Amino acid sequence: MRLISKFVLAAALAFTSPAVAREVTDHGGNTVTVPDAPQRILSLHDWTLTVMTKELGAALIASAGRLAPDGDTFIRGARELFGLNFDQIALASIHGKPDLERIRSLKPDLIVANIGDYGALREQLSTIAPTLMFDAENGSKPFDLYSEYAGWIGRDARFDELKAAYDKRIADAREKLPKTLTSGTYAAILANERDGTLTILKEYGVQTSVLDDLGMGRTTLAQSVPAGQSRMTIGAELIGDIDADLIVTSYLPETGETPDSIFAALSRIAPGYEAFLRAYEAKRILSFSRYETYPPSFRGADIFLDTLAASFE
Amino acid sequence: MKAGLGLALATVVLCLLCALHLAAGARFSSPALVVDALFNHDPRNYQHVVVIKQRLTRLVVAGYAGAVLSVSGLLFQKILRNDLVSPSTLGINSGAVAFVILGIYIFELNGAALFWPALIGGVAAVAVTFLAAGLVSRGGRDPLSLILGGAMTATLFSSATTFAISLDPDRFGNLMGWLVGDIGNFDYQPLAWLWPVGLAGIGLAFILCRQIDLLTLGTEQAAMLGADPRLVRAGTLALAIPLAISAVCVVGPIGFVGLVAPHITRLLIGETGRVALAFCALCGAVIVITADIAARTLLAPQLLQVGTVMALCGGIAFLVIVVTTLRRRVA
Amino acid sequence: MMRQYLTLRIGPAIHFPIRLRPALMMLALIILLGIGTLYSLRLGSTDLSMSDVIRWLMSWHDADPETSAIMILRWPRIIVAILAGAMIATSGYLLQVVARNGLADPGLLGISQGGMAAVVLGVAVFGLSPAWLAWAGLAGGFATAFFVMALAYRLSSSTGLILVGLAVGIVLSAAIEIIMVRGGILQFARWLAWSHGSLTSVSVGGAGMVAIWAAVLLPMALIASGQMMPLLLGHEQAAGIGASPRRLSLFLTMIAAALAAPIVAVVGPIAFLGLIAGHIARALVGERPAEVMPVTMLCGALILLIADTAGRTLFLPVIVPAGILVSIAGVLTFLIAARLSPSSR
Repeated sequence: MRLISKFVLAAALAFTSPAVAREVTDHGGNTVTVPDAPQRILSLHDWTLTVMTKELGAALIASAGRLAPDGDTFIRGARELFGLNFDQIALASIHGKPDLERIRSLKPDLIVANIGDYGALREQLSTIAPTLMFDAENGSKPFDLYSEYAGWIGRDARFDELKAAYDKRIADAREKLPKTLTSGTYAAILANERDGTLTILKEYGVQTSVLDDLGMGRTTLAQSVPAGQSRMTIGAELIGDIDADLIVTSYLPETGETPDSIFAALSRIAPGYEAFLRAYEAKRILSFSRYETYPPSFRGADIFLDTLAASFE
Repeated sequence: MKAGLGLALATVVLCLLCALHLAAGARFSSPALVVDALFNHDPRNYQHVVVIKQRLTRLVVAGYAGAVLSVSGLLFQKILRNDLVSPSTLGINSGAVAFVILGIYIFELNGAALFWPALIGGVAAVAVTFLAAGLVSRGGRDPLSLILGGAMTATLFSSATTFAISLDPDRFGNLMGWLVGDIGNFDYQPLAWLWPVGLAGIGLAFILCRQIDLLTLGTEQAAMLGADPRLVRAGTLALAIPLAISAVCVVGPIGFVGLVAPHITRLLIGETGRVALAFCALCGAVIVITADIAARTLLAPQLLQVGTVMALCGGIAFLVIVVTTLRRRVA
Repeated sequence: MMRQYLTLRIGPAIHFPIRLRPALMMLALIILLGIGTLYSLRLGSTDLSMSDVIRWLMSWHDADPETSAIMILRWPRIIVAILAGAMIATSGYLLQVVARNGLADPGLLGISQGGMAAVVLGVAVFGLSPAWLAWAGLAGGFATAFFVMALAYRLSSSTGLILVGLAVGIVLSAAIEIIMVRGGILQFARWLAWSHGSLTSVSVGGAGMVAIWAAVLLPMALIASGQMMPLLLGHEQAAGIGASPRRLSLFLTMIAAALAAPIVAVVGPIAFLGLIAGHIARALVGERPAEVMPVTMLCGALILLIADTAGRTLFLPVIVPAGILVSIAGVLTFLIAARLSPSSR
């Protein structure tokens, strides 16, 4: 049986460790031996892992991308934040349709993937290169996850640099911004114009991170999101309960939405909302491009803070 | 049960449920508030807005979907002489969803324009189901064949849907409710375009009721009594499919009401006659309205989807129907 | 005119009559499967030459490391495509015989949904680690199969089994849907994709597990096929000639469930493969179970192998999961072909 022998040989190969320096425990609970300073990182999730890897200045060679209806491929999030496209790095796979052979042909020395889409592929990916599974929605704060990830790929120093600049910026902002923005309450929502529902977000990229760091509190409704879930869908009947000092939301530019779409959506979902949402009167309903605020990134945080400052001058 | 009595009873139940539907929600509104909102409407009072714009509209949509789906189901069951068929078990729902998703992804259609791809999808699904069932039943009349053909068709079309969605799930975020079948606050807007389909369909069903009833006696008897079985069958299909599609376009693939309501009708007052048809429509409306109340209140403030609630309860009902029909057949 | 029978003689006393047509069909299918395997080893994002493939197959001890590295991504899924295809087809054919309905398929017994419900519950409620999920799926599949059989047993009607299975499957998928929808569109899309079966994530370990199940169950099914003829007559007639159809039906259903459950755990459900393979096999060799069974296995293996290879090579850079390709292309081709050819009736 030649194939059985192949199997034994392959198994032996898979367990031979290359010359490496560190052990990392990923979000799947696996301990993986990874290169000290990976030189060819391949990311399988565009708007979390690719964005973070790019921002940390690590050696990113390829990323998963999305297929637009016209057949074009693009890197969601990293395209908007860093202008990254597939002329600069290689296409690893179309999102949700992993092509292991293409991934292998790119010769990565570290693969990073999100556990929700690629958890089942870990064993096969590990035959190509050390593979780390990342879980963006395990309930931790986005910047804590980011810090952890920087450690995985050996870019702690760069992360600390960025974090220090960010902390300084937050401290500045706390002095310059109006008091309500440093001590009031906020609600992060998504409005579903189609069926008239609202989604209350517990953790949502830089949106919740920055507002938490500024010192804002959450509404009671946001605190009632069940543990282990990052969001909850409610009917528009309860729109009165998101009556916070600041309401933040996001839009998808791809679908033709703009920062003002939220107002149209709200008046459709909850006609007359202008009268009973404090934030409306104080012009504190802000909408951000989802591609800039969902990914955990300091660039995104900067954009977010810029917009915030510009709105309250 | 006497037919007239059943009809009256169903109407009373429906009215009570309507009242409950308007009062129940994430927060219970007092009956006085509901009456105020209806007859003494104050657009600046948000509670009034909730009752009118978020509950009354849903109530209308739920009632419409329930009525047309169950009438469509009854028509299918009568002309196919098969008490296991319904718009969902024939695969119509999945066919409509697949074509709508492709319409959105490729042609960027929206609103009432989606009725046409949905109708094409529904007709295609019925054709595939009949084709598949015909292949194996070899001219015989095994009720199972149609159901299996329907399951096959449903899988076929849901594969296409799945492929389109998995390419870029984020784009379909707002559509998820519709994909699993749900009543949204704005579903009354496409309904404003589509209600004539339902009205005409149910009206024609009433007019053709006698011919369709003749068909349930068997093809030969029907022909002897002066009905052209082929014509009646084709005509009824041409009624039942658009009826179901008009509901799917509005609320998505809510299943099983079209299966369960005719069974309740048959159990209580029999399946022939215009009264049965009316009872069946009322019964369907009652079922979907109940499901909508449950979806909004069970996990409040969180919302459940009417479609998933219906599928769970309807699936259990289907299981019971299957087991009891088969037991009866064995006995 | 062609001779109908060949007689295989072992010594003076033992001889087996072998019908010529099924034997030739099997031979042809085996050759096709061999060619298909070679081609699917050769094709992929990184093209290899046929000589690379042959060299890799022949020289395991000093294989080119580059080729080996590509092959470790290919051969587990090819092995699983062949075995899973054969197992699902067998499972489907067994159910078709037991239910005496040509549309029966393991997906319709609720086995797939049971397996998936167990996995979803395991993750969402009990927080199981991925290593245990395959076993949870297996347990769920078996539990559902037993539940369905227990419900249908008293009905004694063959149709009942499938209808009950269908209904149980619907209830289970509704329950899964309620859990998955709460995670937003991303989770819902993942569930949808998973519920249609893909061979992408098949690993060496998964291939090993499938191989063990196949090694035990496929021979059992082949042996059982010799006893299945009376079932085609219907229960009364079968009892009339002294067979005990009920016990045999129960046993065959259990084998069918056991054949489908590990596949659901490793690759997810592949809908309608059982149906298509069974039909093609009957069109090729007639009705005798002992002949249809091996042909069904070969057809199933060939179909899944072709679907998976096409899905991962034809539409690059998009990979189309085998489950989706079987349900769309497979079912459509099947329906059209069956419609056109009068012989399938």
